[in-house]
Amino acid sequence: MTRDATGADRAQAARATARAWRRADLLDEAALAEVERQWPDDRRRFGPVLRTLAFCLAVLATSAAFALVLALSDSHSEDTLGVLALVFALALIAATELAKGPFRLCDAGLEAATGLLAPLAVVGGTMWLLSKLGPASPYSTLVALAIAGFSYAVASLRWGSTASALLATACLGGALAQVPGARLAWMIAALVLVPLTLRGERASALPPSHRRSCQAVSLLALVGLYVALHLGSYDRHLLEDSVVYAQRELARQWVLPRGLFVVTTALVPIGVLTLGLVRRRRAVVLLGAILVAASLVTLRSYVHVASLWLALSASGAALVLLALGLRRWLDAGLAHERGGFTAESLAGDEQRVRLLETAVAVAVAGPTARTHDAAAARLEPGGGRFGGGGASSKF
Amino acid sequence: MTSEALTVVQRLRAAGLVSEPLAARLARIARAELVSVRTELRLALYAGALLVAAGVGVLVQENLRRLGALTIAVSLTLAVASCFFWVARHAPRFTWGEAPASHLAFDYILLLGVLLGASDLAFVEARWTPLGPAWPWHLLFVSLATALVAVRYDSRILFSLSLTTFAAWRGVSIGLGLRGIGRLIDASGRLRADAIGCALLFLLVGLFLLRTGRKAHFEPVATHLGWLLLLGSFVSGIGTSGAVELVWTLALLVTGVALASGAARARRFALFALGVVAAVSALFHRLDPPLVVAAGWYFLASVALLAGLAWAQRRLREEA
Repeated sequence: MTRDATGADRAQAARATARAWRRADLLDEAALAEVERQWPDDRRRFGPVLRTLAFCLAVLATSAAFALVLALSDSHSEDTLGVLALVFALALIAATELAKGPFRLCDAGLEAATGLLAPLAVVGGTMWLLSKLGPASPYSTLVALAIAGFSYAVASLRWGSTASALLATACLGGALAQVPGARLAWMIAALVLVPLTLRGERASALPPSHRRSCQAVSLLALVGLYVALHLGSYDRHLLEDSVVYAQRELARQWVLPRGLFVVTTALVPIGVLTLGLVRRRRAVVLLGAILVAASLVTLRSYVHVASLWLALSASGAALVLLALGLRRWLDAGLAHERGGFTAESLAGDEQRVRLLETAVAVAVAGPTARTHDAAAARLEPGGGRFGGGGASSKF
Repeated sequence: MTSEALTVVQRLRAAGLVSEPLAARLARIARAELVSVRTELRLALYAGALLVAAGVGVLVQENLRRLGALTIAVSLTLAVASCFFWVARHAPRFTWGEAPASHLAFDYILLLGVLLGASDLAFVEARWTPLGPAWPWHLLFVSLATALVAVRYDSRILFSLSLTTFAAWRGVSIGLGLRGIGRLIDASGRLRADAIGCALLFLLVGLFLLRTGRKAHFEPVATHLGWLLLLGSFVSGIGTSGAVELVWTLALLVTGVALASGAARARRFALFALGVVAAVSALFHRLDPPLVVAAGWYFLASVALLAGLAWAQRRLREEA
């Protein structure tokens, strides 16, 4: 990132912090105004709604421009596609540099779209170039993923894009899945990435965008570690079967004992949860909780612990009781906190949570309109579908 | 939090805009020595309520013969009563304005009670068929009862559920041929006409809430659902194969543009986006032209819309 962009990024982080504290009633209007005065915004930013629209339209415009040039060139050969992809890659890089530099666009959607499409065009163009140099290779997917990973990593570093960082990590995972010993490679990569990114997440020397990228990469790496050590992925040969076909026999020789995966499926979520609690990382705590739930689901799929209704109801009730108990325990602590955790709001994000809850309620808890067929089914003994205020079960 | 946050605290303390104890607390937050898990607790409560409701649904489905219908109905009623007993004990006083939740779990226990109550009612209706062929009316009852509970206990989640249940009642009724305008036109046309009527009703409800100032904070729920339903019903009719489909396409375009411009004036960004998406859907509807024309049209229209967005952002100033 340029020095100018880093400065703007730090100022935005300062303003965002002050606004969050204002929403949580920790600061008053005068304090917020002072922060806005001391860290003025010199960028053109879009809000979340307009930004999303701009992103989608920019992707559409770029794709349409590509198709238009292709159609006007009146040739659909691979040569035209490859050259055009490279030209577009250069144009998109230039557009992103212009948008982030002289035009001072930031969080506007447009520069995010061009910044994400540029590495894609680089991969397309480079793969075309490589195909011209020699015969088709079984390792072409591995090479394409490696190039994509590198391109997105560079894009993330240059433009401070968290999405690019995530894509780079995903491409790295995809590339490692192609080599013999993919499972082991995933474990090693995750064990290297997690400590590095967790440290980077709080490194003051890094601009806020890079710190956010570190956080996102650390979470993805933890998910990768869980998948690599998960019993279900082991039993289904999830990583072994993704290896380049010619190397699959070799890959099967790298298999670790199954018992290890039984233990790790149980221990990794607990480890992630503990890591989040010890280092006070909310996102890691949340991920740990999700992984615990995933491991419980895995346990039930292997061992018939209880009937489905009991498993669902008991886990739901346990979740409610655990949350209530935690809240009471935290509230009972000195100044309503224990071990650096509190149940009080410190960032004023209640509104967003409410919005999410309402959207989920509309999507999953509401009933759906039934057709004639479904209505007729209700008259059959023991069958019929109903929905009312959230009920949509068969009886 | 971040090093920038720490700098904010230091400068605000230097300017005398925060007290010493508050500055110390903010500095702890900035250094991540104090972390709030309120959102996580809320999400856990919400997920827990939904899981219990789902488990009860499966219980009723799988154990009908083993447990007996009466046992299930009575157990569900007792569970609902327990939830509402807890809710009644923790409920804030009624107000037409926004009532702050008295307990972190209030919204979720209330949601669980209503979901279980709806399951109970649906089960009773299915098992003993008290309404006979008019069974969809139980959905209207659930919708109205949920709306009442939503107003009494100030729950936006329940208000949205009541509206979606109402829409489902209309859908089921049309599906069964019990209600609906214009039996002479085809089934999808009847469904669309009913959906439009339902959408207009939601919009009127939103307007009523806003004008009267009673539960005015529920208005966005009704308005957004109303517009979604209205535009969705237009989308279901668009096409290029006949005059009627073209009329719906045109209606989608005009309504989308009108909504976007109205929402822009009112600075309502979600509605603005909805209007833009509707207009774009109509503009980009498949016409099967040659590739050059289609690509050229998509490119020019996207660029023009991007320019329009930039203009809108300058005028609306949505907080980034």
